[in-house]
Amino acid sequence: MEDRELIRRIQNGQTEYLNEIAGKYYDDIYYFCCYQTGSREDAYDLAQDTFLRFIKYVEHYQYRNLKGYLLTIAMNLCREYLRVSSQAHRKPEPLEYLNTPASYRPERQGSQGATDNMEASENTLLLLDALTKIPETQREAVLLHHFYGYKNREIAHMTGASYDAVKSRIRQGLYRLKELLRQSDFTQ
Amino acid sequence: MIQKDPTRGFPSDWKFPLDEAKRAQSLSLIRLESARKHIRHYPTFWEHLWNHLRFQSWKHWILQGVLLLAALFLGLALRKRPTEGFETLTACSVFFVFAGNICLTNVANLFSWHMAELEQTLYLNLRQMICIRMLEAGIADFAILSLFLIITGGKNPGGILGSLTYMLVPFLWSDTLYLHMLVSLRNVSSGFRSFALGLLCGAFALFPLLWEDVYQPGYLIIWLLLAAFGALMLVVQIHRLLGSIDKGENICLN
Repeated sequence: MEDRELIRRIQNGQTEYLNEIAGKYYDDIYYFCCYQTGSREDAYDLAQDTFLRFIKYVEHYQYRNLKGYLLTIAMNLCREYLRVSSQAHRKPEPLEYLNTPASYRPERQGSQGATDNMEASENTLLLLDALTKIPETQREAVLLHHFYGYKNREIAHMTGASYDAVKSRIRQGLYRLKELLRQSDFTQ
Repeated sequence: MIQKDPTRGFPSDWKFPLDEAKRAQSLSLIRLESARKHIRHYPTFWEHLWNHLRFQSWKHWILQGVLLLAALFLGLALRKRPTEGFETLTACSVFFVFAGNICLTNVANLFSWHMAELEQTLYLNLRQMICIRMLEAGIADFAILSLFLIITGGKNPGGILGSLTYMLVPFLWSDTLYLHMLVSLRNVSSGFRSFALGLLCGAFALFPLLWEDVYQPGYLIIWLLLAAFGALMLVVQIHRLLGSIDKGENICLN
């Protein structure tokens, strides 16, 4: 079903269609939160909070681009998360997580069967690590442009920055990301 | 092999498998919240418009009909009589001003005592209600103006464009004044407000009778400037009226 139709039905009181939206976009929002914050664990909570916030205000939502709207909510939640994290002097370290033996990872206790499915490749973790090392605004611009395929103008609208600022953030972010990936053993 | 451009490899690799247990847990929480969510229905503008027209009283439709018929008869009478162009214009202007004010009383009714509170408690969007009533008044005014222009346009000095400007100026300014008084003098009785407004606007529209040359083509630029400024002031007053609803201060003082 088209997003527009889903929203129309939800706003007419058929709230069961909210689950369809969550199922459809959960993964996309999760990956965004994961790469934006660098934390594969907290990204589940952030993706969940994104949908909870969307549900809270869904009756006031005017349909335009649902995925973009959800990503904007996720982006704001990630900004808040990073602000709180930096205040608490706690920086997410994805490589540290990779190097830690599975038995010492607290979030994996009791769910060993599930962990088999979530093993990310070496490349993914290198990418995750490199992304956490570039500034937040550049990271979100690079993510939205290169991973989600949004145009500069759309990103400007989502982030509230000017078109030129977005263009510059993508260029600078990509340059730094390339440098970081070249320094690591990122392979195709 | 180390890539030359690492970013080209992103899409193939960046989506790793998710922890299905955690994903399912998140989605079940979302499902729970969805089930708890109660959506309040807010009618759209078009639903408002349809409901508004459906529940409009028969007195209102009769008044609109009478106004249109009166405009038609006035136009035909002025066309048949050997009157001067400026007299025709003045008569049309005065009628147009009063017709405009009568149509706007429908907007003013929304500001009657406790009406605004009642409408808001019934979840109606007051801004939309006002826009609908102004739209309705605007359509009626447009019909009357078109009628006057068609019937008497050729007889007047300055042609259709000139006639349009001469009739629009008193109309725009009287509507501006009406909306201004509606916002500023809300607590004054509506009878007094209408009487004062009628006197003011009538005097303004009759002004050309005292100075016939005012309809000469040489003064058209002044009329055009007055029309442009009047339109701007009307927009400002509409904005102010809608702003007063947003802030709610005047409504709460009811």
